[in-house]
Amino acid sequence: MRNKATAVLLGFALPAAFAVYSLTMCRAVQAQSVSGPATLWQDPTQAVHVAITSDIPLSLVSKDLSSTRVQIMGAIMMVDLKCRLEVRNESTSFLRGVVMGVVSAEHSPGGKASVALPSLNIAPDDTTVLNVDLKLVRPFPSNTDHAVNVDIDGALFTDMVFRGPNEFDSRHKLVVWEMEAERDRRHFKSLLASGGREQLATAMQASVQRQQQRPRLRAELEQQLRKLISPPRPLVRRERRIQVSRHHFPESPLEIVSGSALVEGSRVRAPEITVKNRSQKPVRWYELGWLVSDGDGVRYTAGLMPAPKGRSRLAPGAEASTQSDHSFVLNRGGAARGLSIGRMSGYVRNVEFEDGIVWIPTRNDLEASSLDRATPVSVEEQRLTRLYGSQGVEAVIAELAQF
Amino acid sequence: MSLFYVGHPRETDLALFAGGELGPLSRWRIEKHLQSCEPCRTAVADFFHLQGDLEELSELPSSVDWAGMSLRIFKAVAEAEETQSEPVRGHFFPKPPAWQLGLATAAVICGFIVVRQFPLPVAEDAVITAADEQKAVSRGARTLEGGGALAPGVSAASSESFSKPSSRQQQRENQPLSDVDAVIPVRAVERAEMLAMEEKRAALAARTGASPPEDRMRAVARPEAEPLRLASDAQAHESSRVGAGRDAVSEADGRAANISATSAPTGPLGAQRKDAAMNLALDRRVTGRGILREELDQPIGGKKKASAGELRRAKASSVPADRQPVSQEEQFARLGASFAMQIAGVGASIAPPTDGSEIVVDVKTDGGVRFRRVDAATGRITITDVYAQ
Repeated sequence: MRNKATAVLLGFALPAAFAVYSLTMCRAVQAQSVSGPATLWQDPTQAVHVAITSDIPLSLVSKDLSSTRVQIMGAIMMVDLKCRLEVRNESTSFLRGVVMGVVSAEHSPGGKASVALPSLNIAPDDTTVLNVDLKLVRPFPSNTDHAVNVDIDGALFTDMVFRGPNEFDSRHKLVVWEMEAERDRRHFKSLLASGGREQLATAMQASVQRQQQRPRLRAELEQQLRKLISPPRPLVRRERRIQVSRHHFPESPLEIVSGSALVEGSRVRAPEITVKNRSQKPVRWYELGWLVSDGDGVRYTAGLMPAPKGRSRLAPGAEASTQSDHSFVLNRGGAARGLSIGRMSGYVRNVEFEDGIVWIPTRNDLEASSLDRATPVSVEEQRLTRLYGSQGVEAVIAELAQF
Repeated sequence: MSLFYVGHPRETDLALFAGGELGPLSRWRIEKHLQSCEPCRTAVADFFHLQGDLEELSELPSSVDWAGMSLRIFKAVAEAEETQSEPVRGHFFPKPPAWQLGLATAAVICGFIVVRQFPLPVAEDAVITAADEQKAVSRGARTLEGGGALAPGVSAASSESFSKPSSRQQQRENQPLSDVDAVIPVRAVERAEMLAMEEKRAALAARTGASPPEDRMRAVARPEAEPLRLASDAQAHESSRVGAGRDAVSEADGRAANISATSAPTGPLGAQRKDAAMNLALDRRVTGRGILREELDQPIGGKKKASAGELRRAKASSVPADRQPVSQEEQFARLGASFAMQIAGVGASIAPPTDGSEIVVDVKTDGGVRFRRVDAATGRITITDVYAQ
């Protein structure tokens, strides 16, 4: 009896179970597989999708993907994305900046990026060209309708009016860049007013020289976690914990309370900085800058330290700690790559309050702490100095007059 | 919702997913799982960044007892063969005919369903068959087996996973990684390859003179010597790389480094090994990922592998003329550029063009990267943020 039951089970129930399982799996494969042969995906118009959300007062005049190349190599799709979009400013204000979101594999690391064009000055009803030039590598086939989605995530207009879905923190970024632009334009305008074109030219030359002489550092993200096979390393790490010193700005709403990192030669692990909100308003978002000094006291910008993920607002008087479990290797590039980290320091790059107001350090703050020699100049200053280098000081004066 | 997953995917699956080396079904399942599982997303992120460390995989220690390892593998293969030769007497299945009937019925139903589900023809180069994925998995499993003898060179974390696997771990590692793959005995494949190798070595010895019997025995016993033999034969070398996966690449590189560093055997076998080392060194012109992509690009399945020329012609016929790559070298150069950015700390599958434009890179402590790039033609500044998660 038992044998018969087993035979029935194996003869009918097992095939049925296999059939259900196979059907489910095949459905899954079908959902995953592309809706056509691979050659279809090599058509950029099929692979790349461009959209503008309706609440953004920009209209798409033309879209050119002809230079985009899609190559499929086995299970890998390589997209050399060269997207040229011509958009028209349909609002009654000047367009100051645009951020486009590029999503190739949303849930894969590195599958998401934003491309921003700050420091624009596009008049109402004028058109401008937005270029996206990226190389993407993603698995193939795609389980979405398009391999790459390009959307306009936000646009900033005069008077800091922002429009867009803001899925990439575009508002915060555009407002910070625009405030830095206004700050620097104000600075150069004041130089022009006080000392004329000679003083403006001198300031431009000094800025160019500062940009050229700024000590450069290459920071590499080291992944020591989950390493399957690695070269032999000493079992005992000679790491030492160093304290992070702070650059204090008098007007800064955040104060760096403490900070530390584990350092071994040119390797920095688990940097951590704690800040305190000393303003009267809750803070929504902030960004810290991170510098290291070598044995000779030369300071280098090491990177950005964004606010912790899943953050809640930082109430007045409250403290928050920004931590990273990553390890970074810093080198200078070229022949003298090695860098022995002597000191580390941090400073507040920008703060956004709950009400949307953004704070950035003034030029005096940066000069007083000599940060202007170690940190990159603003986007606007870089743009103006390049204009000066290519067309001379008159072009810069004409450019400043437009704002 | 974790569709088809009770718990979490295996770490090996996550690693393959991060490298883009999973089949479509497995990738779809893991993508679904990652949508709702933060720990697995973190794990995938960690594995993803590991791609930049592939170069380090070639730095295998020279002090490994290769001979001892090969003897252990040979012994294990022999034991497995003896085990497989015994018929399975399942006291759970008293009626073999019913079991066979059930399997046959299931196979027919499954075959019918599979045929019905795929009415449209799919381009050949876009398909990875289960058999090929199984080959890659088999080789990956063998590499993991070999990892047990690499204890002097592995980190603490890796030795915890691979240095001395328990019998249960060993069994798990030998299982196919893809749930839809047919079961192919790994050891049987190894045995067949070794037998073929043995035959070829015997023929070579007959032509060029007798080599020491212990050397021959060692060569037969060492499955890791197989690519060295195949390297002397271009086509066989090509086929050995198909589906080998990243572990095989690093394994081959490591052996090449090891052979050049240690005393090479004399005689014909030694000459062969020198040739092999040179071949492998030439392959190092391309990055590890480049080799891997080349493997994935091969036509796969049960048929004979295509040569590089056939592959190029097949590609040329499927790509519009105005979008044809100039050469395979160009493709690898592009890949190299992209992955060089990863090595440089980008750690992302999105990278800006490396056309010499002025680029300022800011690494974020959360693993993301920010590029500031000045367009030389227009002077316009573009800022690209690549997100780690």
